[in-house]
Amino acid sequence: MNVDVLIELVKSDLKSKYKNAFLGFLWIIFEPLLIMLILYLVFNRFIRFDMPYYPLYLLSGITVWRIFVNSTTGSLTSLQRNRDLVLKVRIKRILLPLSSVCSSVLTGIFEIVIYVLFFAIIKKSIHVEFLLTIPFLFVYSLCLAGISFILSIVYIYIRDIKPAWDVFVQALFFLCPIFYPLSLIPIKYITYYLLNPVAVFIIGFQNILYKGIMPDITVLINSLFFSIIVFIIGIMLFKFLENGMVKRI
Amino acid sequence: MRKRVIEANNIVLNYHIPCGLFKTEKLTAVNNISFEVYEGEMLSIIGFNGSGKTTMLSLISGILKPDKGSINVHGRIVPFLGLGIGFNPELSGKENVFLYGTIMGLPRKEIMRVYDDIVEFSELKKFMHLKIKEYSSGMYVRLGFSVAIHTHPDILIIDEVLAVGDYAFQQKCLNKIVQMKSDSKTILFVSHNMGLITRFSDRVILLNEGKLILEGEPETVVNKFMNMRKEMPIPEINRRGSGQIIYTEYGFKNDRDEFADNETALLILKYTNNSKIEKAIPGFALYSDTGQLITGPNLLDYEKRFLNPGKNGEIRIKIPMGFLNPGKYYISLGMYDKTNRFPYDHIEYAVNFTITGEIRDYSGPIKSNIEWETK
Repeated sequence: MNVDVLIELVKSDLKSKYKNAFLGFLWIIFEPLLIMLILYLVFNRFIRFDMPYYPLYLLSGITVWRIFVNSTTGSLTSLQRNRDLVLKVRIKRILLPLSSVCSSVLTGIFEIVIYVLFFAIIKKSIHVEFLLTIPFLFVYSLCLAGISFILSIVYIYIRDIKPAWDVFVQALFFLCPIFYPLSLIPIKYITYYLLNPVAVFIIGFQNILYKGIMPDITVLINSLFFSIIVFIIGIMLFKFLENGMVKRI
Repeated sequence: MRKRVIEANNIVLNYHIPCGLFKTEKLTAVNNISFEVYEGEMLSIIGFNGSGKTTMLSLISGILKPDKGSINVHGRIVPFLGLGIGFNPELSGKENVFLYGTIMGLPRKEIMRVYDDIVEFSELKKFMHLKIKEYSSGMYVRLGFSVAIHTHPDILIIDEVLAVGDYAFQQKCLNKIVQMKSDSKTILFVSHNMGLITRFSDRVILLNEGKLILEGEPETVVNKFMNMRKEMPIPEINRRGSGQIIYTEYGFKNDRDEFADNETALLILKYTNNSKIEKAIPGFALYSDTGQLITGPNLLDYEKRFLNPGKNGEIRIKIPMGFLNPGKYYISLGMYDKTNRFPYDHIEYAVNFTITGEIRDYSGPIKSNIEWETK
């Protein structure tokens, strides 16, 4: 039954976002492509990174990055936006941030499919390793859900985290290998650089989607454990703060 | 032995209202309340605004958790604390039935099964493909109620939701509720309509400032509440206008403020004309204690003439009180210009008075002089 609610919430979210736009669901294709185009024009002209198929590199990074940004910023205000659902209906409240994450991940899946089509057109081949995206995306989603549970409920207590998170996300963009290659980071800083979980996920996805190779197995296992821990902490914190949240919202 | 479906034991709920940076102020919304509700019973909760009624319903629904005490509920509970909560205005009526239905706890399959019943009950068949944002507020509520009522609850929690929507649909909803009651569903009801309360409830609880004051037979509790309403502080007098004519003295003859329901009261208003105004319209408005406007007569509408005020003058208005039910009432006074748009003087809540007698009709302030003949 909770699954039914989740499905309806995600459907409602996606439909209201795209249904009324003149181009409708086509925006799922245009949005990442246009952002890719801007970055490509900027960086190919001013700072040249010597990378083969640079547009593909950009697009793979942007797609994964967008899943992170959309799901966290969307879920941050999800309880506040649905105040009435929290206060007047018996609904599992954790479904509200979760549905935000689900619709962002779902949009992301479409974007990845577009990417693969793009890849096939440019390189005239695809890799069987692409299939690894599915389990890796699942692990990524677990992590995002955990972060989203924490953000959504803490937001009700501390409203400052919304502007703070917006700034933080802007900064984080430059700390992820999206428009520059990882090799640009000096070796002595790489350990610190990889403390950023979003960067680790992006590198993993780039290995699969851009290079067509399987990521390092220890990276996979570490990400899995990391995500499960974040997810569990998220649920526990949400449950712990839930009753107080209802009185504060 | 009747089955107990709700047991509330010594429940307490505090809110911590932030004031200043790290300080909070404690506000006890529900203070040590215990009661029981039995299967098939309709229990109403009454009280002033802010007395804790909605908080109480939220606690029973499980939306809020009590700080102290316990609540046990046996059976499927569906709160109607607002209709159409979670409707997405960008989606069609049909899509919203599924969205709202699952939110109210129905599995998708079940919604498909009862979908036609829902549409039929709402009388909105022609509009199901329209976006909800195109709906009128009445249609919105109708769809909301229709979905909610098809969730087959054992316990229904209704908070003032019937106050909206058109009259015919309200009656339809009431009929449905009565029917559910006879199917031994339990109903918890909050309303400001004392007529509905006395008509349908089996038992009434009166809350005030978070405490349970009285519990018992509908009429006893409602009467107690009506008496409490009489003792409510009088709203502050609020005066506006250009001041070209002002009321200098106003009140009932001999300063009376209590009348029997068959008396005729005499309202005496003295005025001073400060700037040689030649035509003016005096009038007054009568309000019930809930702020409902009952009547607002003025000289022009009643007698087709203006007041030609001298320097000082007096207006006497005879009011036969026979049309009012016992209760507390307020009078606002007005002295308007000849267009009846701009006030020379307007005094909100200038006079208050009480009608005494036996209450025979709880539904509103008007007592009609109907005659009965039965065979």
